[in-house]
Amino acid sequence: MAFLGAAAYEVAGVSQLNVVVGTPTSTQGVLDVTIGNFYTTVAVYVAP
Amino acid sequence: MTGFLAELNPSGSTLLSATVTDSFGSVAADSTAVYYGGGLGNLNSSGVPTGSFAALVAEINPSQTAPIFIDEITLDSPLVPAASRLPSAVAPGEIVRIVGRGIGPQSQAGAKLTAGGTLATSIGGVQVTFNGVPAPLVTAQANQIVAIAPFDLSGLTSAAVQVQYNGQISNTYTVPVLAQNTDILAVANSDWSANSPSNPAQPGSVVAIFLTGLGQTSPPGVNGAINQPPLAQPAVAPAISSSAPTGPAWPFWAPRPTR
Repeated sequence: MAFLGAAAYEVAGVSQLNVVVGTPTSTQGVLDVTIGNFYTTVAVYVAP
Repeated sequence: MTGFLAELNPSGSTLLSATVTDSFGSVAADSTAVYYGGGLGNLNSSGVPTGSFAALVAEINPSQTAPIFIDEITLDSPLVPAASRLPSAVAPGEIVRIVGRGIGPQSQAGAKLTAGGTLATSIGGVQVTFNGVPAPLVTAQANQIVAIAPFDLSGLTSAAVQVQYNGQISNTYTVPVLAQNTDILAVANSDWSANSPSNPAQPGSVVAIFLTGLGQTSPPGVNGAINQPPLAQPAVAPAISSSAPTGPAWPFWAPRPTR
């Protein structure tokens, strides 16, 4: 929980997107999630 | 023909020093309010550039009228190396970084709550305004402030940003305003630990992606308010896609408090 302890993550202007992780195709187990009109991409690391 | 870096006086009329560089386009900056020029040319025996002067890069605050100075505003992007953060627009309610000089205390001041339960707009003697509206502050330090752009920017195309620190007022930095300007703050596994290559999520589990920059909400956001049910939703839901062919089970769109 310490990781999420910052109050900023609970303040107006911050949103939480919950994602059910599927099976990545990458051998590195990286799930690229693209969000928004500006194609912000975040890598979600997934266990093999 | 070599690259050079020249240091000029504040008016740009007098050469103070020059040096050969490895590449064209060198840039330097400091807090002494001088100009730096980079270009292609040669230095003579006295170290003075000769030939063409292909570029001039002006250091900010040449008149030294602003004792504290905003250099740029970038995304917060805590997952991105500082050097990779570029000047950015802002969206209403977005957490952003204000990079500058002398804009806060040497030791970092952290966020605090007001008696009204909202994030304070003044910490460590620092206040930031967007078009005169105080912004909730996350951290403040001499060279960097993390602030939340007020929701009052909704519908605007630009905003004038100023920092006040211990009675001093910075230059005015004009930043473009966009309806949405997505930025990733964190990715957490189902046990709330940070997702990383060494701590990956299990297939089929739920990860939480924390975002900012989704703009105005419905109902309209309250500056610095702590998220409470019923939770506001983005006024415009962002497009979401994934590289995983068998999942994830979208959309699972649930802005909510983290605990």
